[in-house]
Formats: sequence, C-alpha cells, structure tokens
Amino acid sequence: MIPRQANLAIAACAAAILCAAPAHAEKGKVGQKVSSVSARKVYVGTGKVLEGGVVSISDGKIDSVSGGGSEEVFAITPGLVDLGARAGAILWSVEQSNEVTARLSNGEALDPWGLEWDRLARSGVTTVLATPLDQNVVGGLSQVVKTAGADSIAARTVRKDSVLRGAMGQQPSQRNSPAFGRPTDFYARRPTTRMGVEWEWRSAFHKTALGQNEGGERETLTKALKGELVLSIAAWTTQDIRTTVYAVEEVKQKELFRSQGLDKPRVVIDAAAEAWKEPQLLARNQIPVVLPPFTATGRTREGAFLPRNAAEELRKAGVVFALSAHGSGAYDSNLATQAGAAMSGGLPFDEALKAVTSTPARLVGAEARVGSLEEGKDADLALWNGEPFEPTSRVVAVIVDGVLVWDGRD
Amino acid sequence: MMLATFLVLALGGGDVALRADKVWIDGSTSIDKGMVLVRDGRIVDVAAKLELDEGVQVLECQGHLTAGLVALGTKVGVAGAALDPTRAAMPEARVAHALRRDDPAFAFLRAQGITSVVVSPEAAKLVPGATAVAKTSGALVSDRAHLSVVFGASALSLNREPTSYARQGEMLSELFAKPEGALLAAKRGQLPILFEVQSKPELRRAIEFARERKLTGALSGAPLAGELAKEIAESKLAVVVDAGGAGEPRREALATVELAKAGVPFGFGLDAPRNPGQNLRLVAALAVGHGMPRAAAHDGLTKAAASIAGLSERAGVVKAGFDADLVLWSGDPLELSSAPKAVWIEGALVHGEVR
Amino acid sequence: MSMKQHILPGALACAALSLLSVDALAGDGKIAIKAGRVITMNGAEIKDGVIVIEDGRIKEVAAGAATRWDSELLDHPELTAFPGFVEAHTNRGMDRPNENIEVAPFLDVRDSIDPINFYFEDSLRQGIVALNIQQGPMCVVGAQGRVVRPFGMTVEDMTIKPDAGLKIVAGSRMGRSRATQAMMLRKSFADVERYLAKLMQDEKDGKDAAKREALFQGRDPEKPENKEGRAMEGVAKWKLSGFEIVGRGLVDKKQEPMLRLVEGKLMAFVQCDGAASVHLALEVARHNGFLANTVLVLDGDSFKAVDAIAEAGVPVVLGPNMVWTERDPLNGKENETFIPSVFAGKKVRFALQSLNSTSQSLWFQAATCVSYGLDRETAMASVTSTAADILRLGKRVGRLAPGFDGNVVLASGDPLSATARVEYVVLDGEVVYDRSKDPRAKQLLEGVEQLGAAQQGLPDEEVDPHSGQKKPAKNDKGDKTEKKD
Repeated sequence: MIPRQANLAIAACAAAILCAAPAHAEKGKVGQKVSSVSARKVYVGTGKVLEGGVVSISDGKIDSVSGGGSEEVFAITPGLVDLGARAGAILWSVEQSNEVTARLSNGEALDPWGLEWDRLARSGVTTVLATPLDQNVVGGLSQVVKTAGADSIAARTVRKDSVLRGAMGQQPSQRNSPAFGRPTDFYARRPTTRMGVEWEWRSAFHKTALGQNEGGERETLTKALKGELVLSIAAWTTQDIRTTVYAVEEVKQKELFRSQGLDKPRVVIDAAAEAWKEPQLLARNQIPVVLPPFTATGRTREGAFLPRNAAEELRKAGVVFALSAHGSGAYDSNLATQAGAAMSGGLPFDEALKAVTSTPARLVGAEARVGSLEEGKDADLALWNGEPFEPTSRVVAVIVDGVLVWDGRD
Repeated sequence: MMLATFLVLALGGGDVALRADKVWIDGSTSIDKGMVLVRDGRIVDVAAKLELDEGVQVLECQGHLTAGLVALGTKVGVAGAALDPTRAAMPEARVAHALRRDDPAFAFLRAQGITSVVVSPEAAKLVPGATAVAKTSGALVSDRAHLSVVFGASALSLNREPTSYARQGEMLSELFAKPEGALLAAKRGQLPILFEVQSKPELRRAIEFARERKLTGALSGAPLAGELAKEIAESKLAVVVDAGGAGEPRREALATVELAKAGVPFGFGLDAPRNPGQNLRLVAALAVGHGMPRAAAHDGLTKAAASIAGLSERAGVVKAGFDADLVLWSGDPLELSSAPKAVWIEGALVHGEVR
Repeated sequence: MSMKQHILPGALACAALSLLSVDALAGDGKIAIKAGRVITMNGAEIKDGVIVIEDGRIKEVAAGAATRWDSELLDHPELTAFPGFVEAHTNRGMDRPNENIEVAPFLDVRDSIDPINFYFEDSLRQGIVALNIQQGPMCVVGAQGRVVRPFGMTVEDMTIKPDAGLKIVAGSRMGRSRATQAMMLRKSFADVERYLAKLMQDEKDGKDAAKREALFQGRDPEKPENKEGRAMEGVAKWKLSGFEIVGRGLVDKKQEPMLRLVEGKLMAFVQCDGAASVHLALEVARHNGFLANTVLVLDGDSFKAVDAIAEAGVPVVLGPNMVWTERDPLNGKENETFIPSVFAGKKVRFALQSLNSTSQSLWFQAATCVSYGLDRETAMASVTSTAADILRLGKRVGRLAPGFDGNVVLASGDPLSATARVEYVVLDGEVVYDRSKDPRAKQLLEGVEQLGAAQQGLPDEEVDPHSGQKKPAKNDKGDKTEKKD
C-alpha cells in the first residue's frame, strides 16, 4: 500500500474493512477494494486483447474479463512480474560463512516495509522473485512475493521457498582471497576463481547424490535436482551460461544422478546477458533465461554484452525468456522501459508483454495465480494511460489482490 | 552547603520527612503538599499528612517529588569492555563483571534524576550475555537481570558466522533447542529475555521466536516498535523504547504513543553514555506532546521501567517499603524546563541540595 | 593497395573518424528531403512534406515544395522528419568538464571540447543537432560556454554559437558549504566592481589613455557635452559614474567576460542544486544586472522555488532526473513529484536535459513528460524549439522553417516512440549520419562487434557493507570524465 496521504489511506482502509463496499477504480481510493475496472484495451497477457474490456473482481480474484465496458483508463495489463528484481537482496540476506547454504531461506531477511516494494509497485510490478544477494555459490531459498498488500511477507508470499538461488561466474568469488594475509577470515578459503565456483556447484550436486552433505543441505539440493524446486542461477556471460548448461547436462546424463531421479533440475538462468550468443545450446536443453536490464552501450556486468535484439533473437531460436529491471522502479529503467527496449530490438509487443507477465509467472510455478488476467486468478492489474511500454505512457494505478494499492492519476 | 551536608547525614541515618508541593506516587497518583517519611534508606510512609515522632526533621521541598528515574538499555560503566564480536554466543557472560562502578558517567545520570540503570552488553553477537542492574550510586543490584538475545543485524558479522538473518534464526533455534545454564533459565522463564532488535522485521521475528517457545521478557531497541503495537500487545512482551534511534523523531513519538494506547508495558531506554541523560526525559516529553497520556509517560520513566528492570518490588514508586530513590524537581518532570534540584539514592543525597 | 592502406595506423584513424560522414552525399549544403510526416515545431505538421535546403539553410518547408534539379534528394516517405533535438545544457563532450580555478570567466570550453569524443557520435544517433556545452559545476564563475553541433573535425567547424554564456554556480559544491559558495559568488562580482573602479581612478589620475579613447570615439574630451563614451550599460544595481573614460583594451582580458555579463552582453547559465540556491542565483543576477540574460540550470529540489523563478521571468533547464522523491516524515513513505509539470503549471519556459546515468536521451525525457500528462506540444518543444529559444537560437535551430539552419533528423517513426530510430541526420544541408552505415549502432542493436572492439563492462553493483543496500547510482552532476569505449 502506497498512500499519498496517510490519513486518507488509513480512512480508506478502514472503510474497506468496515463497509467492504467495493467500487470502481476511482482516483483517490487507495486501500479500497475494486469490484471492476474498464479500459479501452485490456491485454489479458496470453496474447488476447479486449477492446473496451471490463475486468470484474471479487474476493481479490478475477471474476470475469469481458467486453463492452467504458474507458476508465487507456489500457490494463496483468500486474508485471520480475524474476530478477533483487528486492530485499541486502547483505544480510545471504549466509557467507559457507559457500553452499542451500537450506537457508531469505524469507527471514525480507522487510515488508522496505521502500523498494513501493517503488516496484508504482512501476506496475506486482509480483517478484526475491532472491538472496549473489555472494554465495549456492545462496539459498527464494520467495515469490507480491510487492503490495498486507505488511507481512508471509501474507504476500505467492510461493514460499520454491526457488533455490545461486550464481555462476565472478560474483560469488568477488570478495574472496587466497589463504594468506588474513587466515582467520572465512573469505580466505572460498573459491577465488571461476573454476572454483563451478567446482562448488558440481561438488554440491555430487555430495547430494552420494549422501555426503548434511541433512538440510541434502534435502534442499535433492529437491532441486528432482525438479521440485526451481533452480535459479545467475550467469551473465557466454562462458558462465555454458558452464551452467554443462552442469545440468552432467546430472542429466550421469548414472549416479539418473538412478536416483536426481536428473530433472528445472534451471532458469538469470541475468543471462549473453544468452543470445548461443541460443541453440539453451533451446536444446530447454533452459529458459531472464535477461538483465538493457543498457545504452550494450555493455552489462562481468563484461557481458547485451544488444537490443537479444530478446528477439531468443524468441526466434525458441528459447523461453523473461525480462527484468533488476529492481529499478525509476522511470528511465523500470520493467516497462525494459519491455520497450526489447521492442526497439524487434520484439513484437505481445511477446514483450508475455516476457514481463505470463512467462516469468510460469517459470516460477506461479502461473495459477499471477501473470495473466484470467478468471480465478489473483486480481493484480496495472492500469496505463496509453499503450503499455511506450515511454509516452506509464502505469497510473495498480491493483493487487483486488485492492487499489497505488493511484497516480491526477 | 552546610545544610546540604547535614541533610545527607540526616537522611542516611535516622528518620527524615520530606514535604513537597506535589508528591507523585506513580504516574497516576499524586498528593499535593504530600509527605514522605524515610528511614534507613527506605520509604516508611507516604501521606498528605504524617504523624511524626518528636524530633523528626521535616525538609520543606519546593517542587515535585517523584521516584528516581530508571533508564533501560544503557552501556554505562562498561564502555568497550562488553564488546566481543568474535564469538557468536556467550550466554554465560555477565556484563556486571565488566562494570566500572566509579565510572564518571554515573554522576551525569544522577544529576538528571536517574537513580537506576539496566546495563546491557553490546548487541554484537547472538547471545551476548546477562545484563546488570545498578543504582547510579554505583551499587550493583543484580548481576544477572536479563539474558540479552539479539535478533538485530548488529549480531551479524562479515567475518564470522552468522552473516545472514537466516542463519541467525537457525543458530538461535539451535541454542534454545538444547539450553543450559542461563539459556535454560531463560527458557524456563526464570530469567527474563531482552530481545535486542532494530527494525520492525527483526522485532516481528523476535515476537514469533518468543511465541513459539513461550519466552518472556522485553523487546529492546526498534525505535518504531509502536507501529506494531497490536502484535506486541498480543505477545505480552514489554518494550524498551529506544529513544531517537531511527532519526525520525515525530514518527517515533507517534509510534510510542501507540504503545501506550495498546496497553503494552514499556519503559524508556537510554543509550548512555553515548547519549546524555536528558534524552530520557526528552523522549518521554515528546511522546506526551504527541498525545501520550502523562501518566503513561511518567510510569515509562519510573514504575513500568522498574518493572522491566526487575525492580518492581524496590523502585519506581514512592511507596512504603521501597528504596528511598527520590528526585525533587523544580516543576513537573515532564516539563522540559523542570530540572532536578536534589536526588537521593537509598536515602542518601547524591545530587543537589534542599534549601 | 587496400592491404597497404589497412596497415597504416593513420589511415585507420581516418577511417574511424569518417565512419559517419557519407562521402557520396557530402556537398554544397544543397539538399531536398521528402518525408511522409514532417514535424516542423513551427505550426502544423505536414503530411508528405518536402524540406528544401540551400547553402546550408532551409529555403522552404511545404507539402509540394519544388526541388532543384541539381540538389541531392533524400526521399523517404516512410520516415518522419523533425528539426532535431537541442541539448540545452551539458557538461559532456569535453576533455574534462571541471576546472579547479574557482573564478575563471576568462576560460572558454572551446579549449576543452573534444570533437572526436564518442559523446558527439552518440548525440547524432539520438537525433541531437545542437548542444550547449558548459563547464562542470565545480566552480564559482566558470568558463564561457559554446553551442555546438555534434559533427565536425574542429571545434570551429562544430560551433553554432561561441560565447554562449558564462557558467555560474549558485549551489554548494563538493567540500564547500552553500554559504561559502554564496560569499565567493558575491565577492567575484564585487571584485570586478572594485577592479573597474580602480581602473577608472587610474585614468582620472592622469593617464592619457582617456584622451586616446575620446579621440578614437571622435569626440573632443575637453567639451563637456561629449561625455558619451564607453559608458557602463546594463541594469546592475551598482554603477561607476564616469566609466566612459576607460579606454578600449584597458580592461584586463581576465575581467572582461564579467564586465560583459554586467553590461548585459553575455548570457549566464546559473546552476542551482536546490531551492535555497535559486534565491541566491536570482539575487546575484538582479544585483549585477544580468537577470534578463539568466538561464537557471536546476537540480535537486530547486522546483520548490518555482514561484520565485516565475516572478523573475527567467527560463530554466531542468535537471536530468525529472522525478523528485521525498520521504514523508510521519509515515516514512515516499512521495514523488514530476518536476516538469511544476514548471508547466506556472508557465515557466523550460528545456530538458538528457539523463546521463542511464543515457536516456532527450526523446525519452520528452516522452516521459507526455506520460506524466504534459501536452505533447510542450513536451516536444522543451527539447526542440523552446530549448533553442532559451539559448537565443530560436531563429536558427529547433524548428523547420525558412531561414533556419539546414538541420533535419529523419526517424523511422514517431520521435517519441520506443521503437523509432534515427535513420538520418542532416546538418547544415549535409547528411552527416546514416544509420545503415553506422557500425556502432549495428553492434548495439544486433550485437555484431566491430573488429578490435575493446571489452568493457560496467562496474559491478556496489553494496554498502553496513546497510547492505545497493549504493545509489551516481548523480547526474556531469562531474565525471568521459569514458571512451
């Protein structure tokens, strides 16, 4: 909830609870339940568009989406979904005393009052994957969580501990140093090279298959290898993407893993800036990716290059992808801007919309609740004052679970 | 000055009666022109008019007489000595062993009408040890008043385990799963716990932890705790209000008012010696300015704070049988223009004088 | 032969420099441009318009304008023509934008502008045709700025307007308090006054330069009615009576630019880092008589002084970040203000700046204004015609009209849309940018790397070890040096 005026918002909350009188999405009713909202265009998120559409809502769920409504706003899309939002990825979100801490959950570190949620919500993002900071090889369990609603992470969580997060490449080894100088410091013994990081991954997988790691670790990694958890791995460069894919191929092929059913990891590569360089490798293994934000020069982190047509190239190659703003809610770099950038590289609008709604929802197994405007799903809506993703338009109001959580209309 | 010296001896020795313009028994009860009879460092009687034995001296005090203030969460007398971040847990440590009773900081607090303090170990590990309770005269009252348990990020380090909230929670669970010594006493409710927190999410985790294990004690820190007053009230935990900790004074004051409204027992904390003793009263007065009933603020400085400090049978109320820890103020102590004119600890004049 | 050329480093460098110039079309500034849509910023849009440019200037803009048989023709009915964007204030494109001398009006950014800086190439790609280059904000009174076009082998070649105005900084700068800055700013003008007074006194004390000046002006210095001389003009609140006796050439070159400012012959771009410094800027401008020639360059919460700005009647160049965020002290939540709307609401003329932190260029800034409810005309004007007006170039750039410089940008769609790209840039009647021949654009759009392109990534995200929060992005003060890829 992002009240412009606290008193008004509190009053509206009280009204919503006491009277529970749903209303149309009128300006200034932040905290109010919304029973229906109409627009010139309703983008369902599955490729379908309704001209003059009405979304009817009850009990926080979508009742129906139909035609023939008035035009309260220009367009409605599903609330956007960002799997790379890095919300709550503070230093304390990752345990660094060990390089593999699969069992630990970052849920403890999430602050429901953090301002990053409000910023994301104002930019139309209603669901994110909140991951621990990428300072560990295997960082821990992550949460699919709404950006607005109750002031409790538990209440806003769509899927708890459903994604195991880790990183390939430089990031998990960055702070570490060889074992001289400061021998008392645990950074001294952690991987300091790319190969060290890769080894930690493979070692974690093998220890799990051989039963050599501790209970909580083994349990979590087993789930990940069995595909009961999604495995989100950050890998920016071609090299790291390749390493990730080969690690997956190894467990798919080795008898040690196959015999125990540990050969079905559901990997999503996050921040895969250079996925466009070898899309066939990803397509062959059916590994989806999340792209990092586009930059003006194309240069991203870890020396990776991300051209504007990356998304379109992945689409052509049949690689499933989502877009991410890495948590920015600012007008110049938010998720809508990323979708616009992908479109400037040739990606059709419908595909751009999917890449910030239904695709990311599906990748983390949240598609039954979020990512599209279909009957029975959560009423998470972004209201736009023009064509979505055009810089001349913006999100002017946001509804989460049927409640107007932000309204920036004059 | 001669008179003052005489009074110290008199109050320390035989019976002495104090008569003040207003005697505050606690935050909600006061007696105009009341009298307090003190004998051997203790309060013997309090009434509008006392029948006094022959020869009992009566001190005429102009101003308000209250119980001495109780400051929670201080670091007085242990500056630096109670900090050891290298280990994650030291449940058997006692801050009392590091306490410097002649620390000049005590004198500064006495001068501000503070007669008792809780001294907490630095919250730089998960279980930094037991708190001490002392009079600002330097006398130790308890060397194991609470067990400090830290849910705040201050216990996290980048050089030793844990570095994360997740592992912090896991390690604390492990510690309480097989408790011994102080931890066992805390788990059994024999030793109240001070849950050190900073932010609201930390506070909520502490409540959850306490609820699951039926732990008792107080939440200490979290300047905006009052924004979760309802949840705290349900938890039955008390709160040590961390004055000025968030740097948002108005918001903090409003939050503290919510604590009073929700009926949460609370006392005011003071980060002494880093912050001066005046801050204690300043924060209480600010809360009153933002709508807190005067009685609640008064008790937060005295009666309720004493209760959190484990002094509910000894201090915080002007009542027969209690320690004669008294402060004579030039006016209402919740008016910032008022100042302590005289301070007694267990009947001994430790600051100021009475003319 | 070609092999030999390729191994010559000189030839390589030349090839790099000329990679944007289109030799075949380089000519005499005579060109006709046909576009499906012409946004003139000078009245209504024209469908299927023709822009005729001769001698580097626009001759005609009309639907059926006649083209000469010998002129080049850029015939693109699928493209949209517009006058190109005007960057009303920037610290980029220079060797280094900041100078340590605190009061240095005698400097000129001319000496720092680097014609081969990639920034200019990027500006062309973004459809920018004119840039007001000003010294960075780490000074009190800075160099004279210059308006340039983003193309040319030398600074002179690039120059649209030299002496574009003095840079003055009213806000606090690194390591100095706002009070120190105010004191130094006031003092810098007092120093000029004192200097001039002394100069005048020296003349009165009997040097014969006064006589020479009088003779130069054709008047008899002995006759009292011939007092007209080098009088101080302008509307400064301080005057030096009898200043006309100061001879030509006697004013030190170091002091001259300040004198010209006080006399109303030079513009001033006064940088304000917040509302508090706006008042100082206006007061100094009023006191020293250059308010009418002042443009405020705003940052931070300067918009809160909008009433004072509106009353003073000065135009403004808004800071790169157009959204101001503040926390509510009672509930800790954030409130946002869209700054251009504040100025539009008070009818203050404003121009926008590109957002250098994410390189969102002027088109994006203008588009964002539309998304926040400004009308499209105002938004477009703030990066074209109004920006040109503010730079006193309202008759040369920013509009497509007869007599204007022959600058036209052709885009593949609406200039404010996400998918449109700049296809051609015509400057002074010459095609200086053609996207189909731009290898860097190809790299950015399609990932095709140039041979020998250096790998350079962004610095990794910095995390504050105490709060654990990501450190905020560097602000857009322009005080960073240019990076060359």
